[in-house]
Amino acid sequence: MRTPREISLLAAILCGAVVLILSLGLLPTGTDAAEEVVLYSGRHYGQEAAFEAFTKKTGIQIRTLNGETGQLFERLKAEGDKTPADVLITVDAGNLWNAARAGLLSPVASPELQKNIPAHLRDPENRWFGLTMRARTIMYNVTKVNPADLSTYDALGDPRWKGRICLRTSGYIYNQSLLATMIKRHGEPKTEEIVRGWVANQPILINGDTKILEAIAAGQCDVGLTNTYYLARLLAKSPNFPVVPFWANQQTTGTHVNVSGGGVTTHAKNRANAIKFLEFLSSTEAQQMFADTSLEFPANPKAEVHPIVKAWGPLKQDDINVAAAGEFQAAATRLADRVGYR
Amino acid sequence: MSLVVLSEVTKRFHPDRPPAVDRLSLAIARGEILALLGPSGSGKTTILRLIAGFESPDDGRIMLGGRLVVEAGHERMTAVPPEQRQVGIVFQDYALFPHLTVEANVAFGLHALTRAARGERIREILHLVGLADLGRRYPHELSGGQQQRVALARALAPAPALLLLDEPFSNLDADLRAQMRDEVERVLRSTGTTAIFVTHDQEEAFTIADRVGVLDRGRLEQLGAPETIYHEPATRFVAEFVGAADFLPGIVTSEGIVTEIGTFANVQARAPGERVRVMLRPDDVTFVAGHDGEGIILRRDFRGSETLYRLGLPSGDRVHSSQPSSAAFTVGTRVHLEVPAIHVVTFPAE
Amino acid sequence: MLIASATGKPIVARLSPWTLAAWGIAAFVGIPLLAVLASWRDPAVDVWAHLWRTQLAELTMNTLLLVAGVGAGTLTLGAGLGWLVVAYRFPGRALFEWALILPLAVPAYVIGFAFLGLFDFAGPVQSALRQWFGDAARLPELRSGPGVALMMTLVFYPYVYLLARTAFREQGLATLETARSLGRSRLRAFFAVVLPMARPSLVAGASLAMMEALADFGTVSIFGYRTLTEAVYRVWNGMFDRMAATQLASLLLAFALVLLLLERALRGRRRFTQSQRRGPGVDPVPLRGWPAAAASVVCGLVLVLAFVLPIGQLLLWAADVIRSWRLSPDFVAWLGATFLLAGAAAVMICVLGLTVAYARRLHPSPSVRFAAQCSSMGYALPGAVIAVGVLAPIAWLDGVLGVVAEWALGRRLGLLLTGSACAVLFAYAVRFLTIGFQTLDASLGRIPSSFDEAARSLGVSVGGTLRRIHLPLMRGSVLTAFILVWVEVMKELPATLLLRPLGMKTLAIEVWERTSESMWADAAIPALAIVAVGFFPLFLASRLTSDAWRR
Repeated sequence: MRTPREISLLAAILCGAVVLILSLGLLPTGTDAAEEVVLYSGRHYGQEAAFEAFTKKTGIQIRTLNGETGQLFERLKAEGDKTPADVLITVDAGNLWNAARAGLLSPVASPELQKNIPAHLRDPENRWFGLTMRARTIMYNVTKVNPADLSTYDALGDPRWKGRICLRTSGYIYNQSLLATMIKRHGEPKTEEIVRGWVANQPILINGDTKILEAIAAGQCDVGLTNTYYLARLLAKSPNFPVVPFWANQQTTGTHVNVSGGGVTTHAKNRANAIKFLEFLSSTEAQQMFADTSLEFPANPKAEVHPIVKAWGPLKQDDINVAAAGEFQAAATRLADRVGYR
Repeated sequence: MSLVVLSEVTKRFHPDRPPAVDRLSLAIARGEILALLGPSGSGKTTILRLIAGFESPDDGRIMLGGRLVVEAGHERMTAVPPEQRQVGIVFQDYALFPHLTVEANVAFGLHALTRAARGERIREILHLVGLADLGRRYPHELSGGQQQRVALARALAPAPALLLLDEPFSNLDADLRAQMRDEVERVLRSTGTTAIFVTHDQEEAFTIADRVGVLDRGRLEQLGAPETIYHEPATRFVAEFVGAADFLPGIVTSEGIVTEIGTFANVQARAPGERVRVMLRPDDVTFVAGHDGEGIILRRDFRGSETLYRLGLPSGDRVHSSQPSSAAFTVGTRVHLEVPAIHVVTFPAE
Repeated sequence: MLIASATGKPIVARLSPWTLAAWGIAAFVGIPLLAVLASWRDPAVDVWAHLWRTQLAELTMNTLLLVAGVGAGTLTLGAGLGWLVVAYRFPGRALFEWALILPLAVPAYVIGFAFLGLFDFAGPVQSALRQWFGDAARLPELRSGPGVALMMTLVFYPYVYLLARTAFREQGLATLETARSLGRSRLRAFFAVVLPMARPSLVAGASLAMMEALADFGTVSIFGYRTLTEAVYRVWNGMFDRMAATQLASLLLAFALVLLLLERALRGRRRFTQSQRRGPGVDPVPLRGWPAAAASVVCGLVLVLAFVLPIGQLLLWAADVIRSWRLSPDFVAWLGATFLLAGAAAVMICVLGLTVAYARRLHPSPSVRFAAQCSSMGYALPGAVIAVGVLAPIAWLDGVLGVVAEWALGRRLGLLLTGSACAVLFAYAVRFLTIGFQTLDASLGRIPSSFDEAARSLGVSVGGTLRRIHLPLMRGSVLTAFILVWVEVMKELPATLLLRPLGMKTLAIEVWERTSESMWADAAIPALAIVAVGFFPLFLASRLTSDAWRR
C-alpha cells in the first residue's frame, strides 16, 4: 500500500464501514423482541417517571427520539409512511395544531382520553390531547409591587409600568401563543393596541423565563410575563424567592393557558399501543407524576397540583380552545413585527 | 547525435501579448553544456520548464534522446509527463525537502534501485560533490554552498541524460560562486551529463558553457561558442548584452571603414557608401597620452586589476578603454586612441 | 496536466482524476445548497412582503455589522495573540501558547450563556457592584450588537489564532531577517512583511470565524440580537413556514458568497514565494518590565474571559448536582456516540478537503477554484437548514432504494438512509468541509511549487508527491484540521438533532435537552464532558503545530 489513492480508498472504505455498521443496526428486523411504542418528542424533561411507570405496568417499551419541534415535523414529513414514529409529543398547542393540519396526526376515538382531558385542552377533532398545562401570567416582585395595581394583560400597557416590565422576545413560542389567543378573543386591531401599549413602556427583553424571574428578583424590572413552572422550580430551590404570580384577567376572560401534549401519528405501526400509551399519560396516576416532577398543572383536573403551585391560589383559566394558539400564530408573529415588539 | 532538439517551439502566456518563447529551434549534443543567457523576461526559464515538462508549448516539438516528448499542433497534443522524462533539475531555490536528510533527499529519485544499490549510489554521488560525511544532516543545517551541492547530487543521482539548472549560483556570494562553478563543471564533465543552464551572468555563461545561446524576448538571437558570441555578435542586442560595447559611426569606403579614430578593415565586405556603426569593446581600445591627442579622459573607474576609462572624442561620441591599473592616467589627460582590432564587427546604422 | 502517453498517441487534454474528484465533492456537498435554492420555486411572497415592511433592512444591517465586527475582532485578536506568542518571550508564554486555543472546546452558546449569567444585571458581578456602590452602579448592556460581537470574538478568535500562529512560525528567520536588514524594527517588520505573507492563513481563519457568526443561532438568540439566521428560525417555527424560512436562508448563502469573494480577493493572487532558508523559525525576543507584564496580562485576560470564566460557571453549576450524579451506561453510550460521529466525520472531511485542496494546486483553473468555493459555502448555513436540505434528497434516495429493494428482495424495508449515520455524516460534510479545506489549503500553499517540480523531475508521480512531500510537510496541518473538525462535530447540535439515528444521542444533544429547559445544573456535566473530550486533542494540535515539520 503506497499511493495516496490507495490510502484515500482505504479511508473511504473505513468510513463506509463505520457508516454501514451504524446503519445496519437500524434495519428493522422482522419482528420486534418486545412490544414497543416509538415516540418523537419535542418535550424532554419531567416525563421519565411516567414512561417508566407505563413500561412497568404494560411491558411496552418506549423508544424516544428527542428533538426540536420544527425539525421533528420535517423528519416525520420526510419519512412519510415509512416512519417508525407512533406518537408525537410536543410543547405548545400551536405546534400540535400545526402537526394536525399537516396531516401528521390521526384522530383517536378514545372515551378515556375524552373523559380525562378537558375539552378546551384537546383538539376538537381528537387528533391531539393536552397532557400538561402551563399558565403564562404576570409575575411580580412582592417587595416592590402592590397586587392591587395588577389586573389584566392589557393593563401592562399603562404608563405607570414604563421601564418596569421584563418580557421574552416576540419570537418565543409561548409569547406567540399568548398573542394568538388574544387575537382570537379580541380580534387583531384590539390586540395590536394592547401590544403597542406594552412596547410603549419600553420593556426589557430577556431571552429566558428563568432569567426574567431573576431579573425581577434583582430589581432590574418589577413585573414580567413568564410560564408558571419556571417560578415553581425557582421556589423549590429557594423558598424565599421574592416573586409571586398574579393570575391575569381573572375578572375578564381568565388567564391564558397552554399545553404540552401529543397524538398518534398517521402512519403509526403500533397504533393500539400508542393509544394505550396516551391514555396512560392522561390517567390520574401519570398526571400526578407530571405535576410532581415538572411542577406544571396537570391537564387532568382530577390530579393534584404540587403544593408550591397550590399555594398560589385558585386559577380561572381562559377556556378558549388552545388550538387557537396555532390558528392565529402566524398572524401573531406578523402583528408583533408590525408593532415593533422585537 | 543530438540529445535535445527543440523545433519551432512557441509558448504564449497571454493571447494578446508577445509570446514568451517565439519559434525557438535548438539542438544540443550529448555531453554538451549549454548556457542560456538573457535579461529577465527573455524566456530562458520558460524554455527550461518546457523541456522539463512543467509547461506545454502552444506550437512546436521537443525531442529528448531521440524520443518525442511533446508535440503541439492545431488539433493534437501529445506529452510525456515530467516524471517520465528523466530530466534532472537544480532549482534556483534548491527546493531541498526540508523534512528529509541529505541522504534521503539524494535518494528521492532512486526508487527504482534496490536498497543496496541505492546506498551505494548515494555514497558515490555524495563523494562526487564533496559532501561525503554530511549525509545525516538536514538541509537547514547546511550552508548555501553545501545546499547547492545537495541539490546537484539529488538531481544527478538517478543519472539523468539531461540536467537543467535554473540560475544555480545566483543565491551564493561572489567568491563561493566561482568555486561552485568550477565544482559543478567538474562534476558535469566527469559524469558526461548534458546540461542546460540559465543565467543572466555573462561571465558564468562564458566560463562553463561549450556554447551560449543569447535570448531576447523569447527569440534566440545567437547560438555559438563564447568567443564567437563575444567577438562576433550577430545582432546589436547580443553585442550590447554580452560585454560592454560602444558604437562609433563610420562610412564604408574603398579603403575600409572610416571612423573618427581611424580606418578599419572592411572584414564583413560591406558596400562602399554604406553607413555603419563599428562595435568597440573596452579591451579593443588603448591609448597613449599626448597633448595633441584627439581624445580626452572624461572619467576613470578603478576596478582592481584594471581600470576603465571613458574617453571623449571631438565629435562628442564616447568610447571606453580598459587598461591595466599599473599605469594610471588622470582625468583630463589628452590621449591618442589606438585600436589594434583584430575583430571588426559592424552593424548597419539605423 | 496532460495524461501520459509515451507512444505519442493523441489524448484528451485537461481532464484528470483530481479535477473530477474536486467537482464530484463540490456537487456532493452542493446538494443541500441546491435544496435551499430550490425553495424559491414557490416564493412566499406575503412573508417576504411582511419581512420587507417590518425588519428585513434591520436584519440585514445587524447581520452585516455582526459579521464585520467578528471579522475585525478575530483578526486583531487572533493575529495579535499569534504574533505575541511566536515572536516574544514573556512570563507564562509556554502556557498561553496552547491554552489560547481552548475556547474552541466549548460550544459557543455555552460560553455566551455563562458569560451572560456572570455579567448580567442579576448576576454575581453586577449584584456585587450594586452592593458596594449602590443601585446606580451598572455595566453597559451586554445584550446589544457590540455585546454579541465581543462575545463571538472571544469565542471564535482561536480560528485565526491557530492558523496565524502556524503561519508566523513557518515564515521562519529568513523573512523577518530580511525585513530587519532593510532597517525596519521588529514591529514594523511584522506589519510590512510577516503579516502580508501570512495573509492567506489569516484570511482563512477570519472567514471561518465570520461564517460561524453568520450561521450562529444559539448565541444571538440568548442575546436577543436579531440577525438573518435568527429570522430563519423565527419564520420556520413562528409562522410554520419552512419554505419561507429556507428562502430566507438563501440570503445567508448570498452573504457567504460575498464573504468568499472577499476572501479570495484578500488572499492575493500570489501562489507562494519564499526563499529556501526556512530554517529554525523565528527567534523569540525576551520582553522585560512593562511590555512583558502587558503581554502576560493581555493573554491572561483573554483566556480568563473566553475560557476560565465559562468553565468556572459550569463547574459551579456542576457542583450543585455532583453529589447525586452517577456514571450511567447511558452516559457512556453518549460518549461513545460522540466519539464515533466526530471521528468518522473528521476522517471523512480531511480526506475530502485534502482532495479539493490538492486538485486546486494541480489545476488552478477557474472551474476547480469554483468547485473549491462551492464546497466552502455550507459553513454559512445554519445547521438546521443544512439538515433539512439533506433530509429531502436522502429521503428521496431512500424511496428509490425502497422500490429497488422491494423489487429485488420482495419485501418492504424500513428506512435505510434517513435516520442513519449516513445522513448525519452527509450534513457534517456539507457544514464543515470548509474547515478541513481552508486549513489544508493554506498549509499546502506554503509549500513552494518548486518542491512539486523537483519531485516530479525525479520520477515521482503526482500522487507520490502528495504522499512523500506534501503530506509529511503538512502533518501539523492535517492533524489541526482533524482536530478542528472533531471539536466542531462534537459541539454540533441542529443537524445531529434532526438527522441522527433513532436511539443515538451525543453529549451535545444531552446538553441541549437540559438547557432548553433552563436546567443548567443538569447540563453542566455533559457540557464539561464535551470540553474535556476536546481538551486533549486541542492541546495535542497546539503542540504539534508548534513544530511544523521538524522532529
